[in-house]
Amino acid sequence: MPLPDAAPARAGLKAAVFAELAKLRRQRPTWILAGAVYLLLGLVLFALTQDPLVASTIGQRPLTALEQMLPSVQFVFSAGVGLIMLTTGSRLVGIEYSLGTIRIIVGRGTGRAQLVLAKLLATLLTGAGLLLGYCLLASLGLSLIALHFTGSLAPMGRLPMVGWRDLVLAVASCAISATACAAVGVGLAAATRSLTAGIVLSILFFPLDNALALAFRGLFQLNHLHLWQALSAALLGPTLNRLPEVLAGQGAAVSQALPQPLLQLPQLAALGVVAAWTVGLLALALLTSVRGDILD
Amino acid sequence: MSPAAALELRSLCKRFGPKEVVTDLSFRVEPGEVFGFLGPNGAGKTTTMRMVLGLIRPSAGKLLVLGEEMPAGGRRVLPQVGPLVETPALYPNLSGRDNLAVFGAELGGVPWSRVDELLALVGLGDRGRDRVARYSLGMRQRLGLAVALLHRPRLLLLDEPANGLDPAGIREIRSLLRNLSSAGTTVFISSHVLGEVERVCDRVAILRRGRLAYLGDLSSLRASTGTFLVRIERADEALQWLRAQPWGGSAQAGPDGTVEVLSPTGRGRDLNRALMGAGFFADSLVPCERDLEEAFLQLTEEER
Ligand SMILES: Nc1ncnc2c1ncn2[C@@H]1O[C@H](COP(=O)(O)OP(=O)(O)OP(=O)(O)O)[C@@H](O)[C@H]1O
Ligand SMILES: [Mg+2]
Repeated sequence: MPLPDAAPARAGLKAAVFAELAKLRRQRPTWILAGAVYLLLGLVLFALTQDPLVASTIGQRPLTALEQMLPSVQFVFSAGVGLIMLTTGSRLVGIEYSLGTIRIIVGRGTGRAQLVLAKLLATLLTGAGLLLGYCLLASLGLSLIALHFTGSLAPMGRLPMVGWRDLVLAVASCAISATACAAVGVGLAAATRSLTAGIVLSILFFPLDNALALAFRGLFQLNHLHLWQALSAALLGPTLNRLPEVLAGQGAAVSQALPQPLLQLPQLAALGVVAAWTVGLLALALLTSVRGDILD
Repeated sequence: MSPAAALELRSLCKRFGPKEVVTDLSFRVEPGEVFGFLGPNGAGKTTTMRMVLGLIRPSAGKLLVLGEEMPAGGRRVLPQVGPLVETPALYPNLSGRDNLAVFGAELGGVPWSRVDELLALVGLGDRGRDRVARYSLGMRQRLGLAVALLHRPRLLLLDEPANGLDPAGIREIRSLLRNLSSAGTTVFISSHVLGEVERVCDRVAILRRGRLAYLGDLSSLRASTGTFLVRIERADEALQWLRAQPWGGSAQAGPDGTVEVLSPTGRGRDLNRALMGAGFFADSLVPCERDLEEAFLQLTEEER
């Protein structure tokens, strides 16, 4: 009969993050989604080997080829990691309320703010891991494309500085948008205290906010009020859509398929918009978690 | 300085909007005690336990857990509390073992050996690798108890732990609680069925509509009836006389020549004196031990 030996553990942030990672490790939807994104990235890379523009430029003008390839790879990256961050963040928070496990966790001394932070950190760590994986896969893919068309890796050596810069910026903008997405997922699930509402709202967030950008564009064309431009520049999704360009200052390749803000804010202001949304959502998550009774 | 109480409530109140659900509740639970927290459905047991765990804030009053005031001291003291509140909250997609590991990670991690030890302790040794979604209600309750015991709590807080357990399970839990208590763990256990806690509890608090209706040990609850079974000559006449007394209105005939009557003071000798004064001589006076269930119902059900 094992009896207490009065060695109570202490719930700290590190332990809480480990607990969240332990839950994540066993969360199948996240890994299925991550696998699907890897698959999609592979398909996109394969499609690029069939691209005549890439074929004709990669040998002599590797920068042109890179600019042709980067937006689609970057889009799969951002959208894929973003979607995983949205669903993982909201699931990790919402599930505790839906299952009632929140009362066990909080009832054993894990602070509510600490729990939310741990969930955000665990989501971000997962995102970082996935991003690293995608980077490796994309590097491998792009090298294979170079090999396929030219028989050597020489185009990489001929890639000018600006090309390497664009690659770094692509990864950086993915990381930034992944962080913002994690904040959206965690924030909305914490505010609604519900798994279903959290996931549904998180998934709808960017379609809605991109739709708003289009709506503001229409309204602006109607009456040319500056207000519509300002509002559209304050939207998170459209700002993230032009993030590589924002980071580069100018001239970076951006997928034109996605709605852009009506006003091209300068670099700092645009990053400020992203930071304000991220911090705002995190504050929402903390406030709604810390306040009020847990009745689930 | 006397050692801090494991749990201390001072005029604790909780309101949900205009509705007061817990009113002016005060009692102490001593370290190492097995304390029963009783009351009918809706009496406020779960609400009180949620306050103890810092899940909800008291509207008024003071609440000390292991000497620390709640909810402020929660971060320090709650890691030493093992809660099982209402239906056990578990991750249905994970196995029983993984549930314990995940909950354990929150407190810095537990070795698999401890996980398996706990599973065996609650009688789930052979089902630990099954998904919890496939567990029966009683098995979930057992796993919930294992979760509460994970980090060897100093205070075990069990809300209706017998829910869904079969008689053998109830018995196992009872002996488990006794063992824990003799090793120094304080056990605070709620129930709406007195019989469930009767055999393990040192003391009980009985709650009626959020108010304390009784606090003390079970033997005095059992003894405090003041009613006696009196074997007496001329029982019929004695009964008539008793019924005419201001304090004897509830007297009734008992089995074969006895009378059941409430003593004017609650004491046997005063009843005897009164009977003798009226010329009735008793062969014997036996205090009626109240059925505990009866006492519980009386305490909790009047003016309902
Ligand atoms: N969130 C809430 N809002 C309003 N009233 C509530 C809330 N939670 C509980 N109550 C009320 O508080 C009272 C006490 O509820 P509580 O769950 O504490 O009872 P209990 O003693 O645990 O009952 P049971 O034996 O049925 O579990 C009930 O009347 C209930 O309706
Ligand atoms: Mg209850």
